[in-house]
Amino acid sequence: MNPEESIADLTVRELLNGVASREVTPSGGAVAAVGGAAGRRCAR
Amino acid sequence: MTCVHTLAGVDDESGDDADTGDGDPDGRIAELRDSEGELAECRSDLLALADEDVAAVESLQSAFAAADAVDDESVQRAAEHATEVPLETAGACRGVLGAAVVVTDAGAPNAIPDAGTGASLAHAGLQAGVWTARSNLPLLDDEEFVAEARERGSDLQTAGANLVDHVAANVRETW
Repeated sequence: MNPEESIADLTVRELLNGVASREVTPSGGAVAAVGGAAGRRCAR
Repeated sequence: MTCVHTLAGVDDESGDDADTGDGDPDGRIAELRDSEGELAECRSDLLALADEDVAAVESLQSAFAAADAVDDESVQRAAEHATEVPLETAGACRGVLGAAVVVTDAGAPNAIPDAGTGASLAHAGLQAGVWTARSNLPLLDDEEFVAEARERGSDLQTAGANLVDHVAANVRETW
């Protein structure tokens, strides 16, 4: 994941792939942030 | 992540094959290795289901655009598929939750909150799958399909609530 890019701007698919491929360090906090960002995209 | 860290620690201590012999008297490490493989399959399945759900929703929207009425056969079939996919997703999330129970029973304490995070997200996915499926039921004419989908959803919600409660109890034990 490009660190200059907000995860809230990515598509849900990109978020899922980021976690699956460990582009995002899969600590609980990082995964929660990705889940929250995915939720934000779905809810908007 | 909890499996990776816990099993790495076990392997560092014992050299190799910690799931055999005296290194794993109650079989928990072997269960953890099984869960690691099971969770990898769940992840693959869920990513495929995400794509399938996008396709199902697009098919339903196309059917709506082309049909004269909701009871048109093409709309009915598309709505049934758009109901099946999120129920399958909810079932896959239940699989993640079941593995999370095993992982939080046996994992290294410092990694258990990560498993709890994953379980919470899986529970949200399960709930979301059931909600999405149920939202399609008022469109459907096939009463048998609707009753079965409703029952599957209820069973998944009950199982998911029990499993995530078990995981939460395991996380709390680390405090």
